[in-house]
Amino acid sequence: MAKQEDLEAAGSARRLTRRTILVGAGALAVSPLLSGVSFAQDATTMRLSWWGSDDRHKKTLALIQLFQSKHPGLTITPEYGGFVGYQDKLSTQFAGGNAPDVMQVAEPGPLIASGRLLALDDYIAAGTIDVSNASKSVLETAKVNGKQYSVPWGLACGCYFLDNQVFEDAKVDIPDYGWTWDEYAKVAKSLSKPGFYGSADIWAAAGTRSLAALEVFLRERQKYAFTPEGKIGFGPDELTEWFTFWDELRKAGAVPPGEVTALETGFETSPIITGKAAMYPINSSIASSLQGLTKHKLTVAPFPTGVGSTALKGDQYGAFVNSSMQIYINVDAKDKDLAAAFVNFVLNDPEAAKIQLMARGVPASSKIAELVTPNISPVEQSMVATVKYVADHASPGFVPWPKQGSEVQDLMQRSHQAVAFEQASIADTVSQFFDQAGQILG
Amino acid sequence: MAIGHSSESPTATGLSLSRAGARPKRARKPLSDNAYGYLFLAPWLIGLLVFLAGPTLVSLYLSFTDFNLLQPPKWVGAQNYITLFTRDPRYMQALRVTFTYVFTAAPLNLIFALLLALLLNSRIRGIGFYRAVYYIPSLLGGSVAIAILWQQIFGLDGVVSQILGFFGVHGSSWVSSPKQALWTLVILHVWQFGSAMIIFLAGLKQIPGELYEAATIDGAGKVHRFWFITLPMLTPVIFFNLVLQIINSFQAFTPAFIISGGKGGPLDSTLFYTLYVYIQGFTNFRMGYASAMGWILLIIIGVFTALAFLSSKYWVHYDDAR
Repeated sequence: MAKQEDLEAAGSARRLTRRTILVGAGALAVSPLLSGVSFAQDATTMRLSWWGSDDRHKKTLALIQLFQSKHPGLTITPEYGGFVGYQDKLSTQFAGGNAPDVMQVAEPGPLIASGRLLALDDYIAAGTIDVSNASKSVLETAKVNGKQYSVPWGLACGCYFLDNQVFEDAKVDIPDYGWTWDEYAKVAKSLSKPGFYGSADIWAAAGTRSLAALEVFLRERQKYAFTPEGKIGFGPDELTEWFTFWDELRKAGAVPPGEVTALETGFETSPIITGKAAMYPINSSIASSLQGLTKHKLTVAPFPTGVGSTALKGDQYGAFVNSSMQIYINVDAKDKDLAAAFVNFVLNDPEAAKIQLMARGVPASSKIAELVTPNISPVEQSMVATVKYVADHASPGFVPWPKQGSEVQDLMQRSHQAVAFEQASIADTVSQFFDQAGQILG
Repeated sequence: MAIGHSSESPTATGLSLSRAGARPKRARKPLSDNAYGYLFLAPWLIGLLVFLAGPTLVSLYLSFTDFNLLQPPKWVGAQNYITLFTRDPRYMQALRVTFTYVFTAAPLNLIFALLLALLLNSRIRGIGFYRAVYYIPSLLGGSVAIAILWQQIFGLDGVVSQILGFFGVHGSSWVSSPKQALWTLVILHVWQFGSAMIIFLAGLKQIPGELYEAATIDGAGKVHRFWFITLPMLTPVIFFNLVLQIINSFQAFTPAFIISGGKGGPLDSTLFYTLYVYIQGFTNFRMGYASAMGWILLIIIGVFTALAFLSSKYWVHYDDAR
């Protein structure tokens, strides 16, 4: 019996061997593929998308390297470019189901409304994304329907960049942080000479000026660009006053005529860089990029105030701090935990902070901001001081823009142009603005 | 059997044999020819159906909806079309800009191309080199780099302002002035005369030399030969170029997009039709509205092309009608 069993065992063993060889050979042949498969599962990929200038591109690419070194096997695919067309491309990617995992978003309204962006509240509650050192008031501005969809990837405020060389040559003092609109107008006029303008205009053909700048003035009177219901938050009187203030400066030669302003396609071609103006209003977060384009020393000043001013008068401080840009996660991100880890990394990691410095404005975490402040350039020091001044003086309150906000902003830009190119009177422009804004907002 | 089967036909005459033999062949051959034809056609045909015909039909449906790209479309009937013609001043501006552009840029481009073709249709040394040089702008013309170059040339301190300044015309910045920005784009289009020029050149080469010889003997001068031989003989080519130009210039997009930073400014003076379609569709998320605009543009181009064809029998002379 034993023999029989042995024989059978031997027989089956022999049969098995034949089979084993085949199976073994097959397994051998497939094994590289299998390991390939398992490798591919370990090696995650993540797509990160942003807009910016060269300085920001370089720093963000270095940031990606650092994050990858902390997560072996992870590959982050960067997708970056300039601001013009960025949102159009991103929206199309979302529509096609092909959007990046983590990204800057210029106009989050429609994406949030259609549920394409991830609410971060769970990650914040779990501490995966630590916002304990971030500015509460700015975090509040990024909430939609009580949910936190993004965290600020840098803080900024509307500000004026000042060309110190021109001030020195003209023997005009650099204004204090608390300057009024009256003082602004006076400085702009005193710096002007034929072919040169004291200040750039408040609108630009590209970018996001005009409505955002108007909001600084509106806030002096406890008003906002929009009402919480998504209607226009101001009246014809304020807009008339605003247009008139700028029109008078334009006629006095203190800000450039329309065709000079329309030449600006981005801060790279702004009048302060092309040598046409000494003061330039824009978001403070571009400080280091802007300084890189001119040999003249630049400093930063907050927007002027209407308190104690006769022009654009108001009874509270209008300027305010916002996030220069925000970081969002795609609701369909491949690995949401990893994406959240990346968000936390850009917000709180000290090493990351030393790479980013001020590439997106003042770091949102106050701890991180203090840590990197000694390492930054003079213009960035001046930017940090300005943002701090504005944060200390800003009045509370904030109304988020509705999803058609940027469309209204474009309308405002065209209205500014109608006045600047003298195509329509201020009165007609104002009434047309309200007509068309009403149509856009439905 | 096989032999017997084939021996059925030899009973007929030689002629009918060849016919009978050819018939099955003829029936088989076209079939397989067609199959191969369709096979080779397939990549294009599939591309046409999937990427052109399909989306075109979908856009017709979308033009009757409110569609923001991200949420499902909502049927609104003819609302988009009604809004376009009754409540959208920017649409009217886009039509004005586009028609101005088409009716100036297209004819100017053709005249310029014809003049250069006449110049380059001579036998001088290195003519091939000159032809190549004059064609280069067309290779570059639609590109982003050229649009940026244009911005510099017609900008505030650009070459054009400086040259005009030398002659005492102290102008402004051409690209950023609402009155002149469109004209810089017309000039840009005219500058891209190359492809029309090449077609004209080919047309000029086709005109039989004996016509000129006969005319010269009859005492016709250069001007007469141009008006009575060159131009009439060239009308089919002019017609072809004209149709192409109408279609192309209605669809102009890139230069305006680059020069105005995607906004059609200053003050909507370069708001081309296609640019407005883009702004509404991809910037403002009104894809239904943009689709309606796309269909109207299709009709406009169709009408103008049809007009060109209808008019052609009055002014286009084909060779065989000689």
